[in-house]
Amino acid sequence: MAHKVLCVDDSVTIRKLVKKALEPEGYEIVEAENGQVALEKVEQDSISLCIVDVNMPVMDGFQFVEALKQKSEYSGIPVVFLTTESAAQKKQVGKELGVNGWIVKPFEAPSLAKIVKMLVK
Amino acid sequence: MEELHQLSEAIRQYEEGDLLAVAEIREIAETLQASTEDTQTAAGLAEIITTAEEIVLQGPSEENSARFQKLGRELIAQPEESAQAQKPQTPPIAAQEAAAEELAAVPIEDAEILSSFLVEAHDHLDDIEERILDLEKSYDEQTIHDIFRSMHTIKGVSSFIGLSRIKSFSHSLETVLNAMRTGELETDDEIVDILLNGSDVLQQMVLDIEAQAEELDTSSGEAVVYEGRVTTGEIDRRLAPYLQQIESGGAAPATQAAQAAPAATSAAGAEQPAHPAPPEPQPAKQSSAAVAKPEKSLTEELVSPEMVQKFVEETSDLVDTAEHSMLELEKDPASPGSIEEAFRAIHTVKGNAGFFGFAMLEKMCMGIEGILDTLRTGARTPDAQIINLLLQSIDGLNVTLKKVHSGEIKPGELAEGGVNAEEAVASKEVGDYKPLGDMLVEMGIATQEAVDQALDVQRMRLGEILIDQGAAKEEEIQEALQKQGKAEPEKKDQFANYRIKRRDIRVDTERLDKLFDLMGEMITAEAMVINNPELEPYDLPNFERSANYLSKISREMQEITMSMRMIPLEGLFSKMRRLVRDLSKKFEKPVNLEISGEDTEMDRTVMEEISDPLVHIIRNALDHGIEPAEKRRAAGKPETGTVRLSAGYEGNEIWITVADDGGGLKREAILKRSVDRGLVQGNPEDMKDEDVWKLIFEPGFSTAEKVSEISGRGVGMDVVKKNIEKLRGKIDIQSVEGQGSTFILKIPLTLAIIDGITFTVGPQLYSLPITDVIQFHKAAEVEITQTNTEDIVINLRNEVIPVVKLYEFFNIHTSKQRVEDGIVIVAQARDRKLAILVDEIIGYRQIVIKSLPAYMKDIRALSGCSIMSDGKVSLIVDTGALISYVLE
Repeated sequence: MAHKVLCVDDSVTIRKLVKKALEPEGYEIVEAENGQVALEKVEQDSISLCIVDVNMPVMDGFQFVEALKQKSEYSGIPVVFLTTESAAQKKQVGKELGVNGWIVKPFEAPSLAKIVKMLVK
Repeated sequence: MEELHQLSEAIRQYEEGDLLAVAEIREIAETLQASTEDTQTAAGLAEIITTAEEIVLQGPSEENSARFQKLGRELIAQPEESAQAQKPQTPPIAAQEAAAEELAAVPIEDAEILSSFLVEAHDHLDDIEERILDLEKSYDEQTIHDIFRSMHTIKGVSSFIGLSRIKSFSHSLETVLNAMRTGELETDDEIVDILLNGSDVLQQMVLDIEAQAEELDTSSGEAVVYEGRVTTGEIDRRLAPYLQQIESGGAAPATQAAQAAPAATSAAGAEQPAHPAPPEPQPAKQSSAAVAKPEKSLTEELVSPEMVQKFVEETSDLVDTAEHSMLELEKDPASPGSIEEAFRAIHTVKGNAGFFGFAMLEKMCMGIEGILDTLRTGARTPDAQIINLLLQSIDGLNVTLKKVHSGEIKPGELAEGGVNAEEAVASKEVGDYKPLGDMLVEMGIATQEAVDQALDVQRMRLGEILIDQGAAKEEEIQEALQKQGKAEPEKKDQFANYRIKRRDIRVDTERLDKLFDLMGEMITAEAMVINNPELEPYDLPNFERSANYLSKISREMQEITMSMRMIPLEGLFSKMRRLVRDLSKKFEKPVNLEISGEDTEMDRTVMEEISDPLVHIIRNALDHGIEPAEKRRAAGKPETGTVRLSAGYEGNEIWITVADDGGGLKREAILKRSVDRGLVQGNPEDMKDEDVWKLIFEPGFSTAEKVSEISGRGVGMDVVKKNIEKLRGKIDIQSVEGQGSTFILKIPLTLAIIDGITFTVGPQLYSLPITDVIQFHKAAEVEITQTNTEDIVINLRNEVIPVVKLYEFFNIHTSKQRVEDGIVIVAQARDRKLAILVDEIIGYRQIVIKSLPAYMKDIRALSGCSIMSDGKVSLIVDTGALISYVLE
């Protein structure tokens, strides 16, 4: 069974890009346009990895991760921020939330696949 | 060892948690591990790999970062040295700026992703614009945050695609927004204005890419779009002080803006318009042939070049209407009629654009419609900013229309299932729209062959055919259609709309001319029948009734025929309204434009010719005529200047008058300049004022750079003279120093049917346009006075009017030589009256003006001739010219 990677981004373009980068590698992509939708998806599907944007309407990436980490059954899911935010302060927030790291946009498909490969085994 | 240094440097630069860097480092380490022979190095590399994986799996921590760094340093002996060498290289600023002037080719690997971005960017920009307008009303933190987020997304996505200009521009805007969000930068009107204009420019950039994407041929593998066709210079310059402030966290922007200003004016290309869209390069052009697919034939059948032309014409008119309404709205914000009118016009444009597949136009209209809708519902009040925005959008529409007109933008597909990828790229509503055929194949409902077959016989709608062929079930087609996002009935409606809207046809002007001629002949022929001398002896009441009926019909026919080529000056005049508004802001002189006679009709082609001259004259009036407010105040004039633009028929001419209440023309200044430029021969002091005034139309009089700023075409006031002369028209200038000047463009009606008074002088028939005639008078001897200069005047109700004996003027023999023998016609032109002595009044006729044969052209004070019902020729007197000859 293919690993399910949840891509949380309000930009449909980014979601498509992630899909294009990872589907050929054998991952199944579950999409969510904001944190709230993502939480529902986490509950519905068994997700192996979350790739999360920081800036999103309704519920942003930080809020999503915070909520996710509070649920013991899901807190083990690795989370990667996919973001253009490079401010140190933001990263500190991410670190405290216990995310696995961030991918600073722009990225290239092979690099993304490499990272995902390391995280999902 | 080079590689080890690189790896070490990469680790040194690693920022905590940057997974891309970690993945990169891990890969380099793995490669090196395989090739290295040194066991110590290999062990170090292995540890790096382990740590990298640990970082990824556990997330960044102080501990693993420190360990990572340590391993990196241990890898080589002198990491500091190499660190120096590896300083991140940023290109020199000069090089960056030079690059900004050029077009940047952006390879597009994935048209679908690009299209997705364009759609998304439009959505965000719409949002942004709406929110910025909200921001104008109140500086709300949440609103700024929302704008920031949208801008951020645009930046992020564009950087993925490689649209680096869009990325860096949106980055600048984002930086400012972020500073506003955090309170680092105070939100004020100036910054909001920059943001609004900036998002406009961004929209232009996106639209530009979209236009290119529309014609993109990705099959060749060399698909590129070009960035840099839209310049961001002005916004960049305005942003610069703010960005500096944010970076340094210091000085107020005001002082920095002042410093930046001189730099801005000296920068090359500072005056470039916001959307220059240079005609080259046009990489997309060559691909358009390849794009033409068999399905296109139906589109071509439906949308002929003529229809596109017609579309452009109709749309221009509608856009003019909308612009007019917007300007009305500016004057009277409480007029819901103007909003409605603008909305309707734009709505129609949108509908038509959608039908023709001009997705870009459609998109732009949607934006305008959105704004108008908020005005309509009262959600927002039409303040200056909104009007500005609307007017800018109108300009954008006009630019796009010009491209449609020139064929630069082509109509899209509209055959069933023929909405191809190119259009889908540009169409917001459609999203990831695919031709129905492709969709069906993808969904496994129909085979490619079945679809191809269906396309071959595509006369019916594809869906129906497939159902007919049993290749698909109706429900499946419906499902596919729904997935496609376009329900069937909607398409039908589009066609229905089209048929209702387009009730007009295009007619060659030559055929119209022919119709005009025939119409004139018919009126003559009709008169020949009705006034036939052979009928005179008889009392024919029934015939007369029929004749009256015939006259009525032919009169109506004539009016309609006339109206076909004649259009009211209204459209042209509203453009001037906009011009005065813009110029008034530019020159910082409050000016009020008063318009009258805009319902005067003029031949369309003639109107095109006078458009430029009018622009130049009005510009001149605002630039040189109207004085700055302080000067006006000092002179005891109202601060707001007035420019009067009026039009009306004057005999056989249309006069368009531009009068300003400015300082008037300065004789000495004009003469000095003309002498300096060698435009005057002889003694300038002897020249009459009116000849001096005309010097400003001489080529070489006006300085090119000043004029081109506005006209953008590098032509001066000489275009005025040239164009007017081309129309066989004249320009009169009156000017009183300190009180203002008046320019009168006198444009002849080349072909017209006018109401005229026909009279005889000796054996000859003459006519005068009825509009020039004030009264007829049988003069009594007591009213006539001969002045000591042999001139005769007539005293009519205490008004002394000079008399001209027409037989003398035209040198015709007649028995009625004394004023009291004949009849005087009191005629008027330009506020001057003249009593014209004629033999006998024949009556009131409709006369068809024909131009004089060449050998009669030199006869003074005649404007044309007309053939009467009995075949005789009547000469048409040019009242204005006659008065000039007699009185001057």
